[in-house]
Amino acid sequence: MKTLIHHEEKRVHLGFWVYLMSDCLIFATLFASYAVLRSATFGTPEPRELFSLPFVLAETLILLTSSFTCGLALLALRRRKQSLVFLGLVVTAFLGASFLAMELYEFGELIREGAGPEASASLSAFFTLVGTHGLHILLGLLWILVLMLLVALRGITESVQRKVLCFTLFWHFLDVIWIFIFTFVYLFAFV
Amino acid sequence: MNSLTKYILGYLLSIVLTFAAIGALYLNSSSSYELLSQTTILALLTLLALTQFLVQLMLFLHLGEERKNSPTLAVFLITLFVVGVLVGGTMWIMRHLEHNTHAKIPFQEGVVTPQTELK
Repeated sequence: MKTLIHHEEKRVHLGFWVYLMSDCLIFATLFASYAVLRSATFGTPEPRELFSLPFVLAETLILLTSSFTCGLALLALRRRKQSLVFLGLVVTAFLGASFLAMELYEFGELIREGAGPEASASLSAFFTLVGTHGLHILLGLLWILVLMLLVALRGITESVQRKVLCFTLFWHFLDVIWIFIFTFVYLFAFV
Repeated sequence: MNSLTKYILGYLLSIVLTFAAIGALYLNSSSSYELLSQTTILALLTLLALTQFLVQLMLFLHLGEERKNSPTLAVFLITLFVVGVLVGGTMWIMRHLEHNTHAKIPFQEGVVTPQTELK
């Protein structure tokens, strides 16, 4: 029985991983588009004038920490510590929501300054790339809510473990993508 | 190394690498004379990003943890190849397009149109 459960989880793990790899391809095209369109600013300010490094650093650290707490939640799940699982998921959700709030604020400021996604090809590419990542974060937050409900209603079953595992893969993946956004979009703007 | 140690190590290393990248940028731009060439700083930032990528892949995503026949590792390597061709190929093509048509890519007014001769 135990090997059956183990095999089931490995299958699900691989299946979800393959989905994540396809998601990589989407982000790869968005990165490639940004690389090509980056210089077409059409009179709008250069990215270095629009971005704030301290702000982006804060976003990065918040998302990184949420990836860490997500891992801790999975560990708690494996050790059947239900209240710790909740704590981990809640903290992850709070940090993720903070990240998203900061990003929405940044987008709002850019739009207010006239540097919205319609202002230039460069900005279109920026908003599409970073916005798609933000959309993934939003869906992840909704997923956490559902997971917390599942854990509360069903407890820590094999099925719940598989679902939380898939979520952690998704959330870690989003932080990995952010590493590249942070470097190639924000840091590169200041070189 | 147990799971908890991996998560803590991954977290700390990622923080260090993030600050290293920002630190390198600040040091380079705040000094009065040019410390590193533009290519060098770009390469350094890329290297730091790839290192953090590897750290999070191995310590958070547990990639390649089972040494034998890791299907996730195999799928990942294939994806890495496709991404490399996608991004690298795009940049290579567009760079050559810019050079060969003497036009600013992505857009330069009035240079390459159906009525204009290619020089």
